[in-house]
Amino acid sequence: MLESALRDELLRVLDPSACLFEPHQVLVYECDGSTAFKASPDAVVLPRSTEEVAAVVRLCDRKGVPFLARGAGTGLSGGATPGAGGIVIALTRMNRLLEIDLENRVALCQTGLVNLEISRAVAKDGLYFAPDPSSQSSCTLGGNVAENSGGPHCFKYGATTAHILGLTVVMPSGEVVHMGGPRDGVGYDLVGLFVGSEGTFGIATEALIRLMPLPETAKTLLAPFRSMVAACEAVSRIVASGIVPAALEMLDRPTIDVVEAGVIAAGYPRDAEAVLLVELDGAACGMDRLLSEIRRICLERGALAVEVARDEAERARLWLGRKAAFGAMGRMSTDLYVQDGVVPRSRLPETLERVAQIAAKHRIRVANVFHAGDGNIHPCIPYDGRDEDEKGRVLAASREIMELCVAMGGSISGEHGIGTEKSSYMSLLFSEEDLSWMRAVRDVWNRKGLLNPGKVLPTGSRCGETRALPSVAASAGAWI
Amino acid sequence: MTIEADSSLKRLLDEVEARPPAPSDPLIDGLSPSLVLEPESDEGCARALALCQTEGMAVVPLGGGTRLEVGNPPSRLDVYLSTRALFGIVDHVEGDLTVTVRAGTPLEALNRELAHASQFVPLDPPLPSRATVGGILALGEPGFRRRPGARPRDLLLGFEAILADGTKVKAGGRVVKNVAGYELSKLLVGSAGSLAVITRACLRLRALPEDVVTLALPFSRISRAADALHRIARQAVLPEAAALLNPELSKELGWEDWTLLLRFEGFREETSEGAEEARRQAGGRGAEAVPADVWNELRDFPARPLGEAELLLRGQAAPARTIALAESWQDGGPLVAYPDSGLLYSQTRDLETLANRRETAALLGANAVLDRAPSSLKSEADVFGEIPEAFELMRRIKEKLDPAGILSPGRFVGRL
Repeated sequence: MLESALRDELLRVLDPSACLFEPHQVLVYECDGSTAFKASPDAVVLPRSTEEVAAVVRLCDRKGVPFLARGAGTGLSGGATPGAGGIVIALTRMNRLLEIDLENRVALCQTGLVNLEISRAVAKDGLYFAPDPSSQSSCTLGGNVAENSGGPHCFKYGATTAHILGLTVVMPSGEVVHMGGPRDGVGYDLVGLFVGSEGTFGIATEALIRLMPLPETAKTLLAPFRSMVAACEAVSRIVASGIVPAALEMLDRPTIDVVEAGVIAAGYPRDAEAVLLVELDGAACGMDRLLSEIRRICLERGALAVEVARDEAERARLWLGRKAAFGAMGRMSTDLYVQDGVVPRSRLPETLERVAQIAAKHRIRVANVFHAGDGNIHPCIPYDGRDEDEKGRVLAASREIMELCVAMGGSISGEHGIGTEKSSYMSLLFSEEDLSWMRAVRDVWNRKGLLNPGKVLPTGSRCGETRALPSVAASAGAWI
Repeated sequence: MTIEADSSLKRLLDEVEARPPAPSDPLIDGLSPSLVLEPESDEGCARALALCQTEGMAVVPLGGGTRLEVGNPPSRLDVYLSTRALFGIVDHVEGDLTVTVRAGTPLEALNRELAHASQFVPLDPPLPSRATVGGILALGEPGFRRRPGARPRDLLLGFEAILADGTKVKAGGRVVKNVAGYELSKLLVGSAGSLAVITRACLRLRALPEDVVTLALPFSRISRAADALHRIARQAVLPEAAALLNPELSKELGWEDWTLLLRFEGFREETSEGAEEARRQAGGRGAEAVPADVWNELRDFPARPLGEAELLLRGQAAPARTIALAESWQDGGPLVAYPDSGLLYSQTRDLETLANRRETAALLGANAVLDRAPSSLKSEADVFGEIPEAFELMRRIKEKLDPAGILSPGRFVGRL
């Protein structure tokens, strides 16, 4: 509960309609998309300007109250969970697109703006904002900046960091600092350092973003394979050929089964062990040759068939199974845990085999839907949240999958972030020296440690096994 | 001061691979260090830095020495920490298009190896036969490929480095997509050896393009070049690089007037359509396909001998202001502008023009870095041209990571 003096001060700097104090009002702010991590904030504020954010932050700084920023709450690693209580600063009312500069192909946006709204606003000018996380119809730009979000098309266009040129940041002291801008500057790349800091360095309230020209055309190709190894080899061959597809997505047998058993069956062959989706975008010229080259590679690696969408309707149909996969998994069990790991692309077949072994050992099921182009796997584990024993097995398997990714030369997160969920796994990848260095850099920004405490870096002896099991409620249309 | 007379130097000499400076070692603004350390391992590098910190010796990391002139004159200089012996490829995974390489490896040697697998690192720093991977990353300077995806910050997937106190650290990894931990690669790229010494780096690679077409388009007036660029920016196939040369540089390379160079890179259908469309957009007259070698001239331009020129300025403009800045800087020496990114390099003979040029830059919201100049001028002038608004944060980062101030002291922005 918030002390009444602080409550009064919040009401002095913000309109009462922008302050939520009652338990029933703050209930939905107790977690993000990973609903297993829940903690109640003492208050939620909904500022409309950088100045209002700064006023709240100064108050927190002065009173020693923990606080954090939150966008749409679509994160999948508990990054916006107020584990230490305090004040949640929700930026969803800061949703204005402030300025579009067509000459420089940049836009200045408040960070509570929804990702897809940006592309909608500039489509008439032939431009779009490239980062396309699965949640792009609801997630906010600020969340993308915090998580350095990816998405299927970051294989070609880079994650969020390649598209952010400048930031207005409310520092944890309440000071407002501008960094970066439409041109190169001098000094350290603070914008690059900030993107991906998971809300632990400061609160970005405005961002200057890069807009890209819409590609002239896009073509989609679907190839089922009888073996996952062959499908992964095809992916490596395609990339090595110099072709840079906009997306390279894969579904495995259990995923195909569950998609085909559902109401939105995509027509994937039931005897396929893997379905590969390739999308090319860009100039129309030469695309036919690239498509036939991809077709040749796929058939050479043993594809059962290769189908190229002839029009937009067919393209949508080919993508249907991929986009509906997470929703379809709802039929497998009451709960679903979506893991996020990365391995070098060349080690995908071996990794998936080992994931299957880990699943068998712990008597759990795993379905894989993943970004094959960049080795970003998403083992999905259906389970019954009411079964404590099963939850324990899921958690143990999950840790082994993380250890496997690291052993393969990969990483513990490709796009969902570390947040609350994986801070205890950081020591799988990093030495105490590495982590101290990261902590030192964080402390330069977040001197008192009041901003989003307990995230990203391990805080002590807490260990993964003692944590609650994260569960990701998959909604129809979710595309991770 | 002789090495024998200085006990801390002697201790360094005893404990790490060290030698006195040779005549072939570069000077920085006329200064030479007392000692050159050339560790043969990352551990040796760590030991060297730890000793330097203990002894309070000022260290400048040294790669190929191709761009040592960039930056303020050092406030102190005791030791060069050379990465020359940290050489070679650690791991090239062809199927992943990644390479892990030791920091002292020159880019050209690396690309020669990678070419066996038809791959390359798409970076174009000056003098790549000498410029090392570590130095290129530390400077963070993009080459003529200026689009996102081909800048040092885009290609560095992970690295190992030694901090000022000798601690070995790493960040990132060997995979192309990774959000575990903070983006410390972004902090080190462009930090010019002021925060840490990179010892190995994992880089993202590209497949060698099937075809490269370079088009030279002449324009009697810069405004016509600007119009053409405007139209070319709307093409379906965009050039991989675009550079505008002022008449003086054009003449050196065998052309006249303003020359717009476009580089199309990729599959044959793309390069030919891109070049064809660009010819049309430019009005067709006088456009000629030229050998790709011309890009090497542009690549090396920032490091080439200044000749009669006294200064090299690096202009930083918003892309839409590049042409205006090129126009106002056009006289007094060769100039190349990259309109995709707003970067310009301009040589000038006249020391007096610095203030004028900075004024015109400021009117366009641009900045002018004094990239190369006589030491006497550099020590008086403001080399970087501006103090960023967030400088206080930069100062605190430097103070936290190099509290003793031994790494390239005084050389960075704001004399950090």
